[in-house]
Amino acid sequence: MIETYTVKSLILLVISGVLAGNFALEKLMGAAPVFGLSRKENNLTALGVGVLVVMLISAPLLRAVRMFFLAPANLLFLQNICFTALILCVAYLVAWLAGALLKRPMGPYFLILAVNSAVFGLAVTAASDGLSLTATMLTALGVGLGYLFTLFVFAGLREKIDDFYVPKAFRGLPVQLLAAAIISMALLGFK
Amino acid sequence: MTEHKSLRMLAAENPSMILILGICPLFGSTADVRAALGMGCLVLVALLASSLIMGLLKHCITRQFVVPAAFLVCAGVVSVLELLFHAWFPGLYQILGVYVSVLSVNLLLFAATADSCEQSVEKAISQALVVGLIFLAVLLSASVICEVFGNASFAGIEIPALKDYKISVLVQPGGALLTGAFLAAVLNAVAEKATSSESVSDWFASSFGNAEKKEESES
Repeated sequence: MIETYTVKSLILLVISGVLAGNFALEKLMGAAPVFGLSRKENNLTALGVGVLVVMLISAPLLRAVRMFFLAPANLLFLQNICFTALILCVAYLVAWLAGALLKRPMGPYFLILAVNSAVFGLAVTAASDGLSLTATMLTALGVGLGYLFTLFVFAGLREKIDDFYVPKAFRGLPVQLLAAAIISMALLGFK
Repeated sequence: MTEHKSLRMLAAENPSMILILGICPLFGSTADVRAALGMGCLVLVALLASSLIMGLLKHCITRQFVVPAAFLVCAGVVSVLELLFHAWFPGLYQILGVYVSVLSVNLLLFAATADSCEQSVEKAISQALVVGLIFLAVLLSASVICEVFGNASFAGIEIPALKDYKISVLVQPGGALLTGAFLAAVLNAVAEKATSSESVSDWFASSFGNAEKKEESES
């Protein structure tokens, strides 16, 4: 495939992954683990960077599997199972590596966070849109950074919200969803 | 150590738990009532099928492998349903797009499937039915609000009276989240417990984190 991207368009791919194309807030993929994250979770940075690494490894891997194995063998109907299994393997590998590097286990929630709709949706859209390898990697970087950004923003928001009075019915999920709605509308401005 | 609570108990305490877990398919299909009905039924059938399969397989799966097995069972079930959905409802499949494939790694489906390993097949099926019906009800109410007020139509039929009063943000992801926030607030108001007291990650840690630890201490 001939690469016809300029440096500007490549940088734009990353930035749009973080802002306008934010998977968790604009496409609502992978938002469930973000909202469901406990406030007791202390290794947020490790979890977020772990998800970014899983995206960076799995997006080109799944693209290659689809392009060189599933499509030529006419096995595209196995795409969902194949992608899920591969993302799981990558997530286990990253969890193991991170555990060895950080000298502490990543915890059971890492898998739930890493095998999410954002990772899967990214791989499916990149594969079906026929993006080149460079574009896939940069989109994965952008989406991964966007996910990390969302994780941090919501961790911060949860602490801030605790300082203010919230009506009883809105405590917990509803107020978080309201905050997400406002951020999502703000990000629409970058389109 | 926290006692294991089934997903059904959690949903009975506060149905907005279902809203958190199923947030992706829920808000991916709120702009059209027909798409929402299709997605709701798809999730219900997927929940029933994957809980049944996992319930039958539970004796062959050791506790450490519950998480990967549940993910693979979900992906398999969703693959089959996606092919059927594509063949029978091509129009709806086009509207829902990538959200159907993305169900393979959906947290709601995964939670119900993994949880059915802890209980008998009948209980797992009834749990899947309850969870699926709550999801369908929440999804339909959200999509009715979003489509009627955001698009001034119902199931594709235009409502002339509302034509000049469209709130177009409601058909955007932000509007879907806004509708979801108010629905969750209504669910919170009628539920016994606020969602904040038990978040999803606490539930996973108490259900599957301890399961792994138990296994280690037993061996």
